[in-house]
Amino acid sequence: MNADQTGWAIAMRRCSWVAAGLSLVVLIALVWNAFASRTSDPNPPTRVDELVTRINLDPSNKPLLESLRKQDVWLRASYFRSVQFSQTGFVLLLGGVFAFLVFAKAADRLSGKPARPNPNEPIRNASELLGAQRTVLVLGMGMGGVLAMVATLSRHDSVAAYVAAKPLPQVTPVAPSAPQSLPIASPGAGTAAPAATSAASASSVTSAPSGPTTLGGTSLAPLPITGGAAAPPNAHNPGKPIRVSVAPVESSGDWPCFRGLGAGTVPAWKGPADWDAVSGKGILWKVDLDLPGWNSPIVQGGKVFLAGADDKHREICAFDLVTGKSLWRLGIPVLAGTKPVKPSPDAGYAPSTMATDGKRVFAAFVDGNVVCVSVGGKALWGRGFGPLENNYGFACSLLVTGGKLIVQVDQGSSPDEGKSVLYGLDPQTGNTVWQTKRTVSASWSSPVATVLGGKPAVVVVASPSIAAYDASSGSEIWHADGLSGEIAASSAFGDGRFFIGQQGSYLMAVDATSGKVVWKTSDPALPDIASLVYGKGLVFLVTSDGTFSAIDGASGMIAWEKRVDKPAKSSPVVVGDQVYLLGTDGTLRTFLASRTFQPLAQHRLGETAEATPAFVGARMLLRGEHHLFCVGAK
Amino acid sequence: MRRAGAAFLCLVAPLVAFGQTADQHSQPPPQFTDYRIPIERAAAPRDGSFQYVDLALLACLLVLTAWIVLKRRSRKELRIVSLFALGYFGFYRLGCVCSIGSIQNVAYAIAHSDYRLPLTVAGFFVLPLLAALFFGRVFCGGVCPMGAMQDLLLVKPIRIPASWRAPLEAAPYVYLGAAILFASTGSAFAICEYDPFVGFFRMHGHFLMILFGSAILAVSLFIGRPYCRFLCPYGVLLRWASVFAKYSVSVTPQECVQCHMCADACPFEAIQPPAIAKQDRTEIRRRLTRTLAVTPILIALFAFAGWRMSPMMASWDLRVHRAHVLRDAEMHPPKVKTVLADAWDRHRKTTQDAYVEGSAVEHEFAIGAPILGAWIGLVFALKSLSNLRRRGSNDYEADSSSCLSCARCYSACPVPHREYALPPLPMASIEPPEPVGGAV
Repeated sequence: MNADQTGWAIAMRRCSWVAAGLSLVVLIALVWNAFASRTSDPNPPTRVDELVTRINLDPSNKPLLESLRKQDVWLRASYFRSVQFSQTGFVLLLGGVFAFLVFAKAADRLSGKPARPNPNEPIRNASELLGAQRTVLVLGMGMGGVLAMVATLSRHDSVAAYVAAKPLPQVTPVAPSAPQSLPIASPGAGTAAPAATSAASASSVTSAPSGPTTLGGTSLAPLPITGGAAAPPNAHNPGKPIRVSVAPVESSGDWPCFRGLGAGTVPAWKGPADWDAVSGKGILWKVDLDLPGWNSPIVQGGKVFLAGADDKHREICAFDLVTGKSLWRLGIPVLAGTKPVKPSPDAGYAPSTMATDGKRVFAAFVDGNVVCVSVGGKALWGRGFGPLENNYGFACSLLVTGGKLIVQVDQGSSPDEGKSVLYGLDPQTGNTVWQTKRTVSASWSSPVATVLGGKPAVVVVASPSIAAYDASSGSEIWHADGLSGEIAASSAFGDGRFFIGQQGSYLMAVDATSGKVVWKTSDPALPDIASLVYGKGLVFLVTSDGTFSAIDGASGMIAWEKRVDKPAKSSPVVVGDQVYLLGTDGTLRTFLASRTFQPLAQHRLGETAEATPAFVGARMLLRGEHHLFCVGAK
Repeated sequence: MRRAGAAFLCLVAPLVAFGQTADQHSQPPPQFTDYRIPIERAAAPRDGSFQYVDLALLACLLVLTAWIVLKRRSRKELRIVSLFALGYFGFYRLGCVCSIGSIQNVAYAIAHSDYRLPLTVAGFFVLPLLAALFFGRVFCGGVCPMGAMQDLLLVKPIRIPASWRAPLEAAPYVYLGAAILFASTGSAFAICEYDPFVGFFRMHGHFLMILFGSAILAVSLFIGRPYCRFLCPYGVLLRWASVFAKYSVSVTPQECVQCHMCADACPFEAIQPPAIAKQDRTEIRRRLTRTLAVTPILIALFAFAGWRMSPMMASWDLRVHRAHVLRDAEMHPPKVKTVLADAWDRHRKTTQDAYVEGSAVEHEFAIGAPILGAWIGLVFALKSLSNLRRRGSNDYEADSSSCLSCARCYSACPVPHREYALPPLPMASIEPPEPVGGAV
């Protein structure tokens, strides 16, 4: 190696050290930045929490608001500085490591010592190979022995033993046949005939469902009505209404769909302040329900309607609002060609709440079958929207507005699949009046009726958007993107804004006229099943695990957030200046709709409940797992 | 000290960088602006015709590498091809499809007649093997992006003693056997799941994957291509195919002067020294007999261990794992339904369905695991025997099965420099030593 090469080698080596030193400095700075950035996390730290709480108590305090704004700006500026720092550091680090490698390699090459022939290498190699031969053999024997010993001593459960321990089940697929124990005929036989859809845009939908099937009064025989002597409120007497007392129905408005026409708000309720379903106090009547279903009761013209279903049977029931007497029960067959669906227990076979237009009632089941029955109990038509590409089955509730039956059929794993369609059906025939293709993925949310620009409209939610449609034509009025995930909650409405939120996504307020997002936040505990409700300037949210929150409707700031201990899947209802929340444990809790958390009362239902209460006049209808309760003043 | 520094930088730097990136993604967006959250959308699939481009490029690179290694004998040109392959198959195609992972598709296709092996995958599996049959391991030398990445980082190769190297060289055979078992049962594509380089190609990956990759790259600074030599399962197939190579690397086209410089230059210890005369034949025979006698015991031991451990191995399969979890929940019902049980319910299946499915997988493992065990025992025995192999040549030669066709030995050999008056090499003497050996 000559002097030039030696000089270059030294230079390269020094360069490599400089590069290594630089990289090390950058590395230390990045590590420091990673730890330091934790302290400037934009998720509200204690200081901001305190400020938010104080501002909620005193919204007019401008210096406090300014202080919060400065704190927020500081936090966000720190965050973006940190991001910029780490990005620059990352590039510098990669460059430093690369330079180190290049210089180190060059230095090695230039300073390499002259090679010398090694005549003893073959002998050394042969000797090494003999050693290697022994090593491999000994290692193999050792490993084999240890493994065999461990395998002998160890014990691992075998799945085959589980199969042997429990006999194999008989294959019992859910066949799309008529219920066996209900006196109804198959819809495919005799009078059933498919009708064509009338929508002009039907061809644009790749998998448009078949037209309605005329069920006809003759093909569905009404079930025998049960009823009779009164029994104690807590007695389990299937099929018989338990009349506690009779009170006149107050014609203060019906409850024709999920959460009523007020999207979960009621101006007032004149029911008893103190009631308890376990003791029977304040309970007007209570009836047993034969078939399960998490759908909520609806009320029209003094009649209460419910749907129930299991894997073999499905039915619609009507009860007298005053007495609880069963007016009729109608077994509903599975429509011909329906693909069997086995839903999760959380959804059940009848998760969708019914709807009514005053003359007819409409029910939907988890497999996408929608049926229409007259309020007198005569089956009219049925229509299948399945099979659906939807994890939990069809669970969107129905709605009648603008003279159309709104059916929200959202499906597909991605919005781009274009499989979701919003239908406007003729309530009388079930034919499609309009259908609008939607670029959303599967959802389990329910449509909300409203009036936009003097025209009836419907607001629906799914990932990634909340959208308003003209109920007469189905044309989109506006939409606002920003949601993601599996949307099950329905929107709340108040003070010219729609509010929607979903766990894992955002809570956002959307202007009802323009569809513009007014604010958006991910700070509160967001609901996963229960719908949102608005009242007294606050949006009320509840998560399945029982975190109950009030959010300022104007700013999106958290007013309060509390654990109510018990899970809740029922949607909260704002009644006057109170919020009613029915927990899955069957306890109905009431809170003051205010900016401070003020629990008021608790009432026991005595059984699991997931349905949302319905309010009509001085009566409140609550659906439990096994019973339908009517609470009211005697 | 410098080695430790380099290792530290290469191992820790990517981890910190990835940690920083992950942190950024976990932050919520600003709230007090009109910023709109972009909707996450999956990238559109690549045009189907590009698979032919990939295949054509693979074939061209294999031929080009063979030409450079065997005809041009140029390390510099080979490095350019290698860098191109790293850029294209690695960072542009994100390390997929690759020949190493294709083993699993082939194994799965053989075990499942209803699975149609994609053309690209079949091509990536077959073409390098075909090339190896004719030209040796040219795929490793110039086309494999993983090899190129490790080669790029090699700063100061150190020699691994044969007694360490030999057991390590058994690992790829074990990995190959295990990968085939898990792929053919449909349990896992383990090679892809534990690919140490794909995280770097995609600049994204699981922490343990990045950690593993960083460790491999740190080792690559001092040990030539550790993954290729001591882990790569496809290397096993290439090794077998290249034994029959018609045209393979020849260190010097002229007479070997036995200077040992090619062996020094090879960072993969793939140059075999000449045979020696003074070897104790009795000792060799004794060892041979002993190894042959022990071979059935080795095979039986590992096969027995495999048979006994088959339920445990099967439990790594998600279907078997699910059956265990559901059984556990059935025997000891939890207060809250587990996520797995909930998901299973949503698939509209009963617990018994899960048991039957898991049991079928267990049955496959009950057959496959002892075979895998026997294979591992056989590998140890053959690996041991291979060290007793007689060398027939009196010159330094590249072992066609181990040679990665990197072309380093060409420039190290002094003979062409002497013959063709090339610039002299930096060496003390090129006089051949006294012959010290002959045929054993």
